[in-house]
Amino acid sequence: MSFSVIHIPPSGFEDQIPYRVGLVELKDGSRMMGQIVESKKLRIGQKMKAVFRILNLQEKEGVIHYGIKFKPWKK
Amino acid sequence: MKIAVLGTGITKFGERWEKSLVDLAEGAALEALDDAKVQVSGIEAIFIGNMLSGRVDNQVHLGSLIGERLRFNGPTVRIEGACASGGMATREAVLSLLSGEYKKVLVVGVEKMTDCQNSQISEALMSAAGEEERRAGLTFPSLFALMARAYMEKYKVSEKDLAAVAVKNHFHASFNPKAQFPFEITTKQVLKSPKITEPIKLFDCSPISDGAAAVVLADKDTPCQVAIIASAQASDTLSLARRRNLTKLLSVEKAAQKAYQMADIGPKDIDLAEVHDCFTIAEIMALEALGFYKKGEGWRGAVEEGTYLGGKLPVNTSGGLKAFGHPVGATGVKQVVEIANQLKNKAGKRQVKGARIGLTQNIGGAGGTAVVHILSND
Repeated sequence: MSFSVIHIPPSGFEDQIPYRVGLVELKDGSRMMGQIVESKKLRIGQKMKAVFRILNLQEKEGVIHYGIKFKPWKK
Repeated sequence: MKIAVLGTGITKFGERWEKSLVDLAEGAALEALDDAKVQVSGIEAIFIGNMLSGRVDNQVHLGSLIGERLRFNGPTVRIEGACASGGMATREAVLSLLSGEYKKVLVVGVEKMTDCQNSQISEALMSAAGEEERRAGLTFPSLFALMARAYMEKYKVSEKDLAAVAVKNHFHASFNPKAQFPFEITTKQVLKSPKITEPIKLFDCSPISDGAAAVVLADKDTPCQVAIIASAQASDTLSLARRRNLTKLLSVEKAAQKAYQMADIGPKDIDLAEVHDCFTIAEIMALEALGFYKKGEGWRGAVEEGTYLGGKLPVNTSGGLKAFGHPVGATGVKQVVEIANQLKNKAGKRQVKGARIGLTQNIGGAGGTAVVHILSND
């Protein structure tokens, strides 16, 4: 639906810049915000695939946060 | 409705390291009281707009703190709605007067933001967004970047078109000594400024600022030159993922419709407006949501100069958020201060000649809350 490339990050994401984020519409019509990985060029309308990845490693209690990210869907 | 705006006060916005939050609030409040020729003893309640004092200063209970400084023992209320806190505080004050409970009240919008590290304030601002957005590593500007990208693609608008908004607001601020950045900038400077979150660059963004603004409001029985004739507020989803359309500010549309209805006027009756340009795209989307431009045409305002001083509908003669500054809780009140002064013919070099009806539009977060006020000097 839309995407952006973040150059100035929030704390905890400094080691990842620049990174891509996007708003993705899922099959059931609902939408989700997530990081976009393994992509060189993005365009609105591009098909994406959800993947399970580490969200960020800078966690005080030593817990690694996992979550959903998206990558371009190739046949 | 007819709520008298008896007096206004405003501090210089910017990096005010020598002033504490309560110093700024006091400065604006005393200036407003003096302008209104009202003593603190004549005020029956104080409404305070502020978003971040708890996180930034570890200070809440601002009502009591500001009351202490002003030596005021009446009721004080702190109102929060992210960046719409100031507009909301104004609205709550209006409602309190309409209820008949009070006859004269003070509104203060105040924020201290520049004493923090960038990452700290950035994190604090993301508290206006949703948890899913924070976990995905989004920043507040990136929410507007997502809207900007969708808007630019849908309506074939360029980064240069967006930059025109920043250039315009700086031009206006160059006439305003209390602005954070009272100087002009060029389109080239905007386009060459560092990328924050594509397509948003540094000069597409309003700054981090300290400042306070205040107004003294009174009920309809009080004679006055300028009055608030409409006040409306509406909401939209907090998260962008829950919105149907990324290119519309639904909360602004709803609040504006209500306000026009209350004042029995339409967009074409508005002579000037202060809109919420937290990012250049936000002004463009606001102009459309307020009915000043058709969908997809809001960018014409700055590019074709219709929204410049001297144009058909001057927008952000104060310099807007971009050039005047954006201490978040103060902005909504500052907008009322600017419109009131314009309608009282006290805007000096940035006076809109013959201004009769003005509008303010203040939003919170990525448009989750919107507050619109209409003022008139008829």
